[in-house]
Amino acid sequence: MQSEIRQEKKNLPLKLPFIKIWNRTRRALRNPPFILSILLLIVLIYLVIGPLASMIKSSFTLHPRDALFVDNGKAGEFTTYYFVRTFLGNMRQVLFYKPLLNTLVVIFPMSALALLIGGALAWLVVRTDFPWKRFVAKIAIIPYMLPSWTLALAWITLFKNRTLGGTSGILEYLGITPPTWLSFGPLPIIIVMALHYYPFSFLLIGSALRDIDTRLEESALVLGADTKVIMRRIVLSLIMPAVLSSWILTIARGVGSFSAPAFLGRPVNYQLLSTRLYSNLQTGSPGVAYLLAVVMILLAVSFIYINQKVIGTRKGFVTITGKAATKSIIKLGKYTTLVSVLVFAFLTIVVFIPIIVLAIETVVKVPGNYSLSNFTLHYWLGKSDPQILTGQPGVFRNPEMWRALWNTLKLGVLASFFCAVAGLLIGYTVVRLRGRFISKILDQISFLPYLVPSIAFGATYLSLFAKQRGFIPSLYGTFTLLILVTTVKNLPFATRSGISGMMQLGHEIEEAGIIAGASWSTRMRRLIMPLQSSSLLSGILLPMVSAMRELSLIIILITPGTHLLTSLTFKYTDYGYYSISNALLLINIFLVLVLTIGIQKITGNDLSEGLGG
Amino acid sequence: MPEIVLKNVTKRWGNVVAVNDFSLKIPDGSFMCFLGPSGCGKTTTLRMIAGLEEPTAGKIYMDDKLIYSSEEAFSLRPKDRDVGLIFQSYALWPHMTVFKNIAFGLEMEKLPGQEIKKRVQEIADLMAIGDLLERYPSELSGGQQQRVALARSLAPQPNCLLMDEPLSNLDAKLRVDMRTELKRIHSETKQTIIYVTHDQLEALSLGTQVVIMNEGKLQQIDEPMEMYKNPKNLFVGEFVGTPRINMVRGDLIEQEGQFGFKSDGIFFPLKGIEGLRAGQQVVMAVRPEDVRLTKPGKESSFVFTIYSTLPAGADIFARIYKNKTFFTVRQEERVIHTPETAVGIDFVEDSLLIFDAQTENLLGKTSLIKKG
Repeated sequence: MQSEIRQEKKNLPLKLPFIKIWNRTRRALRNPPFILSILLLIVLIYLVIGPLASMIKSSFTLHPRDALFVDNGKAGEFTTYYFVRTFLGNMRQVLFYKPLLNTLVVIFPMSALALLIGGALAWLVVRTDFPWKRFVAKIAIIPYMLPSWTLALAWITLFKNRTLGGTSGILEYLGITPPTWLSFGPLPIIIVMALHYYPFSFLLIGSALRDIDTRLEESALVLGADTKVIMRRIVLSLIMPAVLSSWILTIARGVGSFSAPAFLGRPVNYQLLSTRLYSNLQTGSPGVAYLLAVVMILLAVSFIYINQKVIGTRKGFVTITGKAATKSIIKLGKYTTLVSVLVFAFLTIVVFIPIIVLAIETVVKVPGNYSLSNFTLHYWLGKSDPQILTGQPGVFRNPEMWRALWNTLKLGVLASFFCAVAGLLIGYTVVRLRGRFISKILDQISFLPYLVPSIAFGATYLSLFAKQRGFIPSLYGTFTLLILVTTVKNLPFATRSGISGMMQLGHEIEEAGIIAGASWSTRMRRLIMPLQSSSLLSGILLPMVSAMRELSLIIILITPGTHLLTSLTFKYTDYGYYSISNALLLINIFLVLVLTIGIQKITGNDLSEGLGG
Repeated sequence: MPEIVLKNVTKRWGNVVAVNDFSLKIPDGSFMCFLGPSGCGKTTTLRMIAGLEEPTAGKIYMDDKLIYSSEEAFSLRPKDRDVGLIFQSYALWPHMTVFKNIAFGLEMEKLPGQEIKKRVQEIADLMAIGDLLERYPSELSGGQQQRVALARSLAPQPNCLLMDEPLSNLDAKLRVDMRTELKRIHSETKQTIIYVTHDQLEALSLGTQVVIMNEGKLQQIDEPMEMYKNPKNLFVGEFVGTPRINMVRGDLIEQEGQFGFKSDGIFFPLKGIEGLRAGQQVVMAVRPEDVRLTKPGKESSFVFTIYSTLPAGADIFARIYKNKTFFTVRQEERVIHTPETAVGIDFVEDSLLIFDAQTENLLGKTSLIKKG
């Protein structure tokens, strides 16, 4: 016996490495999560890293059109032409530095304002005895569900003054001429964007406030701290990470936001990086546009990086499940009425008035005249009349509208479905392979689109899919590309919910299946999918809402054949046909709200989940 | 060091009565354990003493000073009550270092920085966490977090220390270590400590006094060993002690001129004592260590059968039965009987507790009358 063993040991060293490799490969190939992770990794690298790389490469490759401007330039060769032109050349102020400065000037006050509004509302809803909290919690997130230029269009309708020519706004009609700085430019952009983005802060800070263990406050109370000290040193410090992340999130979103700057900045030639990027593509300088996109990405990534450095992991929350303690609630007392009036006034201005103003604009025959005799339903139902807006029919008679409506619906449903499935699969592999390198890589790559500002993300897809590459055809101009870009952009949220869903599920459920002898596909089909179906369904809501009201992401990928309600609205606004674009926008809003409410009713989940409840 | 008095304290949430007309005197310097099943109101009582919860009715005094009165709607703020409080979850502030956590209470007393530094270092050394001061709570083990929580509440030298199941989150070995530590701290500081737990072993081994609560009501207050030997009612008798006390439901009767307890066809002749009379429905209870196994027939007229034997290291417990009556016995002999062995039983003198079947109150303690 002894000698036999020794002999085997002697023989092994030669074969051992091969046996090891052979066995490892065999085991890996029998391990479905591993195979799945490899497949997912390849797809993700192509769809996330690929576009980025392609865009950077394009910005250093000479475009055929520009070959004439460069000495000895040959199309397709490496060039620093765009780099020099954007950052160092004569046009640098117009192309880059001015838009950069304008972007910074807009996003900082904008994000601060959004934080202030969101934080104050969150505080009110979670930590006070404000009587209308449930209602307010639901209404307060509506601005995020509306297309971001709803407020911009409403603003124009209200404040547009005569200096720009064309039709004027309601205030002009009433005899008040608003100054141009109030009609267009940075101030309205800041306000309109802040009112669109504050729900981020509201939701993030709200749930942070809700999740504070009251015992942390009680400990300080017992040690002699008064309310002021507790608020400052305990509560505020504890929600600081949420405050910072929502601030950074708002900034990162703001950098990539196209619509509000396009509506409110371009008419007075106030350009941000996002609008500059768009016009460079329009005028045929993709190289410059791509470089601007790179700058926007770097900007967003550096903010998020700084945020993570500041917060760090050392002070991480130790979540300990304890008994649910009743929150110490601040009594508003005699201020209840005052606060209620303020909150309702705010929500009316932000949610209801814009929609009403937009609606009024669509039923006014001659723009700028708001008397009753000027009332019309032409822009909704009318037949083509050459006298009105060069023969544009009412939106319901416009085949373009119906096509766009159908496209919007299709995009929302398909993209959110793919997103949820991808999120589930990625979540599954990340959790199952936890601790391995590939799990970490998958986790991080799927999060990457989060860091890329929307319009820049669109630009990366434009550069990758503009022409055929290998067996993958040029997807530019196809609806597939819109689905693809929307799915990948929304992947971070879906992956997060997929991962947390799988974490909650735990290993044992599947292991019991393994022991019982179920194959991998059976385990997925019979165990994992059914158990995750509710989170799958609820994970659909957010991507769907954002897909159907998104403009910044898809604006540069849209072609006449693939119009969505959002892009069509933009097109008509560009023509100055406000009545029609407002009507389209109202249809869009109606669609989003109906679907959101419907899904919330079916799944029983709520974007404002638990706040104020 | 204070004496704490609760007078007719009641706490209601809507229709739910958490604490019901609770009166208690907690002597100065005592280590008072509140013991009871979850939801019995012990934590609520503790929080009312700390000032985190307001009683619906009643008064609370600390050293003859009124700290709460529902009649006068008077409530001293927690910080003026001079108590320390330790939560089960420790509630360490995750965004502050250990030093800052401990220093917080001292800062609130507006002590000079130098003094704070000195005091924090002292208390940290006492708790053997002196080298962890710059860490954040998330970087500590459970036992270390526990020590920091203790240091944080001890640092301002409160009059009275309130602890809410402070050891429940620790593993078994650490828990025993910390019990020793707590007992030592108590004997050193002579502070009044109120300690909430649902673990009867912890209460018996730590407390100088134990209060048992159930459904918001005080059941018994006594020294730990008294509580064990003389439970005032069936609930206390059942709640204290492992393995559980043996309980048999039956009647006190007179049979052939002999007073005794009859259940399940088995008659136990009993010594008559005051308070017991034939015709009463009662529960007879006896601790496992008060039941003795004997040889059947010769020394005992009761023939029971071994159901199973459970050796537990130092002790060997046997489960025995006759008809449908079961007893758990702590064996004196270190013998492992095979199941179905016939055994006789006997009870230690004065060890049979007789409770009224209706009120469940203790009627008296008596002994078995031996044959012959």
